Amino acid sequence: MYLSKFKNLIIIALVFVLFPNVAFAASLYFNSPKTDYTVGEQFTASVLVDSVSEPINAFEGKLVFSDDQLEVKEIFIGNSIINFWLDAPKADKGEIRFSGIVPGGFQGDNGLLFSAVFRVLSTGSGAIKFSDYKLLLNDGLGTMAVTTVANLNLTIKPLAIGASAPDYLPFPDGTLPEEFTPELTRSPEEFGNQWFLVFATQDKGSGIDYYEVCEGSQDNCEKTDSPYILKDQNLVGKIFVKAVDKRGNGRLVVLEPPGGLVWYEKYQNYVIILLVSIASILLVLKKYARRV
Amino acid sequence: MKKVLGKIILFSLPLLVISLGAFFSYSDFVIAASTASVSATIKIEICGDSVKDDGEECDGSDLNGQSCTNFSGFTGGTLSCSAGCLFVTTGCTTAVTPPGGGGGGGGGGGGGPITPVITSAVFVGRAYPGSSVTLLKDGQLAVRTVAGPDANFQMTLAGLSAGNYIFSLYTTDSVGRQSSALTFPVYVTSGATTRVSGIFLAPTIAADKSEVKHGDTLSIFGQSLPQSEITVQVNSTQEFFAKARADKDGVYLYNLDTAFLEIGDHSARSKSTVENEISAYSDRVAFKVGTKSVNEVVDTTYKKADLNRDGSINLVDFSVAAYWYKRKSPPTKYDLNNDGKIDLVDFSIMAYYWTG
Repeated sequence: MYLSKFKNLIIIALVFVLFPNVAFAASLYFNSPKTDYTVGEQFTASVLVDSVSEPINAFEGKLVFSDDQLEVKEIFIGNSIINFWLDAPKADKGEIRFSGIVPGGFQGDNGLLFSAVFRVLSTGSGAIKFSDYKLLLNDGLGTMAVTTVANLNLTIKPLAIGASAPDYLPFPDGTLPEEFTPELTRSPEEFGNQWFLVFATQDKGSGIDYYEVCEGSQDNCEKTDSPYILKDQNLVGKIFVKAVDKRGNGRLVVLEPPGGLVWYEKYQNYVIILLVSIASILLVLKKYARRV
Repeated sequence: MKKVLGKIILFSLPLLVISLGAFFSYSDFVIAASTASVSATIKIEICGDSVKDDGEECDGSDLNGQSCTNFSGFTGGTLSCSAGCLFVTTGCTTAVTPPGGGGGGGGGGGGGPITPVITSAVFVGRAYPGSSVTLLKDGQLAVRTVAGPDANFQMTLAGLSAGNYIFSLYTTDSVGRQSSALTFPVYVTSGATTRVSGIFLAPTIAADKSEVKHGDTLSIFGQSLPQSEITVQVNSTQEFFAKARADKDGVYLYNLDTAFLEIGDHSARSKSTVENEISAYSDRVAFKVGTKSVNEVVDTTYKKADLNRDGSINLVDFSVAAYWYKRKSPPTKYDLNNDGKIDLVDFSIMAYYWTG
């Protein structure tokens, strides 16, 4: 513990001496309710950033932990300072990778990147460590910010005989993702001038889980990311874009196709069919009446 | 004893190293450090938290000690506060003596209509006279407005959720130059109006030459608030500051005598001051002092970040670049810093030039 603090202080001191023109820029750290847990217990660790002197506009890194000791139950990106994710945080074999940007940069303290809910699996000393991290300054050059990190050290005790691990109460989120406007676009320089959709929104509760695009009808959907190259390049039929948060709340946006609706999507066609049907029935009835 | 000694070494060694570092570091760093602490500030107030802030007449039950009798024409009744934190006098009464005997008491009022919960934010600040002001919400275009002839602007954003937002504001001057963005995080409270005031957008800045012959004059100019004091910071080996004054349209000009500068690369940026309020710093304009003069060259990195060439750097550009991120053989045009790969640095450059 002391050694880790000592190392950080030495690094900071050396940075000031070796790079006098570089202001101390940023730090990555965790916010967790405590560091002592029992097996079976679940806890939330939030990944935070401080960057008071310089704005940071790009973040990349991974959290590393023993997957024999900790299991990731959920990851939340709601309320993150990161507006656009390159790699939305995802757990895989004892790692959570993340990368994304904040246009204009973030300058301040306690900036939330994301939160992860862990379940403790086995006893002993454990840690969640930052690895391969990179924070870039909002200077138009992508200069790497001098960054210090504080890992989360854990002490995990066995569960007392007859006791049960405290219940984890997942926080509720009944709010829909924010309104958004997908953009349908194409350019001779992108994707061979094919029509594609771009979209992004935020969910201030549990965070966006996934997007779904449906072409023509809502029975024909696919989970996807932005950009989405349309299968129907003639743009016939409505396009549905759905943003769904981690609690399953979905925000649906419907785009009217520039290429026109298919015949069954035009209500005027139903009116015409109805009128023709009525006229036919009347005609038949009239003929029948004459015969009688 | 060993432990105590260890602790003393633990804390004193880094301090010693920092002290030595400060002693041996260059004097220009000290100047830079002392000036870098000057920063623009904004004020965040919440209408709906039942606490009256400076920009509000009242807030919920906090009526700032006022009652109906403080308003002319009223002698009693109940003063209330609107959702927009303005006084409402509809419940106030005047002392009109009834002509006859007292009538029966009126029936109790029915339940009023349920007021919908509105979560919104209001942005109040100063740009340049008649300039276009853009507000980005979490990196996406939210509102655009035009500042008044006095350079003041106000914009309202409704339909927000409670939570953290990153807001960015920038403006465009009379010749189309874009100011640096003022970006800040704000926590928006549910069912309340969050008022962000004191926004003072940075001046625009440009120079008439990208390279200037040593001893010649370099013109540094731009636009800001009318009659404001402009501080031009020149970053050279010996950093220095110069003053200029914006005219009635907010236009400023500073002629820099380069005889005092060393041959080599330099940069300048500016900020504006009026009535003890300081704007954010402008972007930096780079120039070279050399043996010949070369007229201003447009920053091509900005144009390069606009991948689809639609004049904006936004989600479309991010999405197409993100598509090629970590893929094999991406087109070279996405490699903004020409280092042969598309990585986080390219996205950082794009985020810097972002227009929404």
